[in-house]
Amino acid sequence: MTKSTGLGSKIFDGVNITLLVLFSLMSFLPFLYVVVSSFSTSSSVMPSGFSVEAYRYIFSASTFTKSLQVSIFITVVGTAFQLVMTSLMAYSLSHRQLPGRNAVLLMVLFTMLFSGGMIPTYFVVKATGLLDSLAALIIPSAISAFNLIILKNFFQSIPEELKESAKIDGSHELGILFRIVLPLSLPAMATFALFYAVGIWNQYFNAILYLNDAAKYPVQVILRQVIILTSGSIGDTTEIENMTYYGNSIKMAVIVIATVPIMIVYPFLQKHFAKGVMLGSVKG
Amino acid sequence: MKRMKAMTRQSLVLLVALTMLVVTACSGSGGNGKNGATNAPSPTSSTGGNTTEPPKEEEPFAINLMYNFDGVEFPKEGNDVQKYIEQATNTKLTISALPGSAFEEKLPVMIASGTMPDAFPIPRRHQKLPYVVNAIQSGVFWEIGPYLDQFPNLSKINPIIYENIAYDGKVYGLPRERALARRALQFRSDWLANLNMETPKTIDDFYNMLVAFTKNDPDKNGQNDTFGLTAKEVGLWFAPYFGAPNQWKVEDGKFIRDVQTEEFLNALKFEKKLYDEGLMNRDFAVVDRPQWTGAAETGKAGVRIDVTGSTGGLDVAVKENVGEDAAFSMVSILEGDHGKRINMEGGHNGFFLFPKSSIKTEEHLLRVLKFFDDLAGEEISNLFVWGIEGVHYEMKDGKPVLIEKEGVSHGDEVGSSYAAPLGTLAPATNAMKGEMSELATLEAELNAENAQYGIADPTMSLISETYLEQGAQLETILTDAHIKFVMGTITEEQWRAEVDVWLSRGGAKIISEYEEAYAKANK
Repeated sequence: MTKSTGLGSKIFDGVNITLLVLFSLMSFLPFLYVVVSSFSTSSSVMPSGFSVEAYRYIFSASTFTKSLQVSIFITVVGTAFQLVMTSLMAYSLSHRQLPGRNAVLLMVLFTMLFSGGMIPTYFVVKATGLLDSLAALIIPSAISAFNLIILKNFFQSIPEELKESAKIDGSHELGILFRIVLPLSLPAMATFALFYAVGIWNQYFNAILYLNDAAKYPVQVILRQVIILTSGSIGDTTEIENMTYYGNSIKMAVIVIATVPIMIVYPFLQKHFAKGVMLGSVKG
Repeated sequence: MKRMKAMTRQSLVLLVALTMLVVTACSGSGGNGKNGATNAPSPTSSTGGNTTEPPKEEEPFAINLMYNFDGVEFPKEGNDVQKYIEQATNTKLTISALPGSAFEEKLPVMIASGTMPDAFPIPRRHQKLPYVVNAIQSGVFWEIGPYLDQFPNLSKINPIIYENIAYDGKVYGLPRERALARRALQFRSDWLANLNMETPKTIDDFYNMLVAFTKNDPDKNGQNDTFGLTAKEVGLWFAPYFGAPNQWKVEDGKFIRDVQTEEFLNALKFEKKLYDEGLMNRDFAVVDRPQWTGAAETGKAGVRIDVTGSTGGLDVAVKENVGEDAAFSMVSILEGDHGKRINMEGGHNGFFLFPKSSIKTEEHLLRVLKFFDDLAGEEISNLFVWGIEGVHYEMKDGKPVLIEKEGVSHGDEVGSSYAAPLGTLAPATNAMKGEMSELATLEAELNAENAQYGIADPTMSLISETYLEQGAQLETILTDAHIKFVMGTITEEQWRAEVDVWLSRGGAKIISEYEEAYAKANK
């Protein structure tokens, strides 16, 4: 962070900062527009006025609050479950001397390239009795092959000496995993927690496929229904006269509620990204 | 060190326990789900705890339904309306009411996997999609045509509608009826009275009305701030009045598209005249529904084109925005040189199908059909139209009157949750006739009259592969050409050239495929 005084570097900084500012505005303005519109009272494109009517309306019907609860529940439980499952498998596979390790890795790799397809997967979910339960949104995607391989490599990068010292002290393999390896892998865990949480939170199609009870639908499904109704392209299955008309501000308010919770998670995990990983564990 | 080991063991046990808990919890609820999904036709369903119905001549029959629900919140299980339906039809209903968008996306997988309820509706727009056609052709669903005459109410549904949803001439679906021809020109009747004009009967009357609405200050505020027509699409609206076919016509087994007729071009020229003279909104090509309907609701435009059923709502909206004097009325048919004509639609909001995988026997099918027949009977028709006596309506002088009360909504509790998705024969057919508003009476009259003069789209039950695959893209060639012609950016010759482009890109193929399908169906 030394200050350079050359003209070239000043121009470079200037261009850099301008571009970055433009880029962040590009990402931020649409979001700001959504938030502002959700409080708007006008139905035209330019928002004006202020009211919380849209939010009051949304929370007056229990459909939306219920779906929000479902989303939060599956995200919290699902992320924890998926992290445990992924790290268990990744830790086993990180042992180079594990018999059959390459065969297992090959199988994992295979699923990254080829998948069973929608209907066969549906049959598996049906046969395992997960249909119409929230577990169907968690268990089938419990381990992501991509995350698994990255985590395995991360575990491998942890010095063998640390694990050995734990073993000498009499620790069990699971003890090593939970007391030595995982605490050292917090940044990685935070990253994957975020990946998994966002993945589950945004789940939409699986919910439609596997769930038959509308009360179990996560917030994304409801969000889509509201947006379809607002854009006026109503499923013609119902008489147009019976339709509930959702205004623009309600649509925007739903978008805010469906995106903000998962955005809030990020700052809490961010501190782990920045931290030094293995500061002072092994000397040499 | 020992302590550490003990703690490790503890945490290990905890972990295993936690995992077990999660897994068992999941499989537990999974098991329940499975029971619900593969609901066998046994009346001893575990959810029967909240009905106190005494056994009649037979046990209530379990029926598993799934349908679209486009309201805000579906009523809780065991609500009074559902109990009323169950008692009147002697059934025990298991209903999955899914948001319309989710329902539509779930259908293909549901059908492909064979996990289906006893009956579910196919949305109108999905009628010819390959997943439905293939399933029907491979015998997944019961053909209900031969059984219909056993059911007095179901056989009252207009046979044209059954024909419209037939596949290869056979009836599989039970349509949710709606008016066959329901296009309406909705106009400000108070403006018309201000100008001392009569309800338009001919195309010329209509044109004169638009001119007067635009130029003669119909709202008497001394300002030139009104215009005639607010619209979105072009072409289709006026085509039948000028004698053009309803999308397609058949002559000696040959299919002719509307754009290939001079009559259609005349209709376009009429719309061009409206556009050129400033009698309609100039942004018709890009405007969204809230905007163009808003122009009519706020008293800027005097005419909106929509359906007969929506005039009442528009009338309420304009009274709110403009004042109590404002009023809308409507007309459906404008007479031209070709007499009275109006385009017919499919006449349904989608149709129920009955899968063989969940309905195993003929008796079972007949019982399920009887349920739908009962729903169309007098008792449930009254419920669908009026609600429950004492809750939603009361009798005054022998006529039902809706009760206006805070916290009670017929629309939410009956309309969007049961009446709209489950009604097959239009409930008004068998329900009590109440005191109807002027507009509602007019709506019924117009719908009845329109059905007499309706012209059918001959391709309604025919399938063209090319149309399914490329129809949407091909249609944009035509709609773009119509819009450009109306706005004056292309000439008549260029418009004809665009029609030829449509023909060469696939239109001709669609024509030959329809001709083939038509010949096959009319053998």
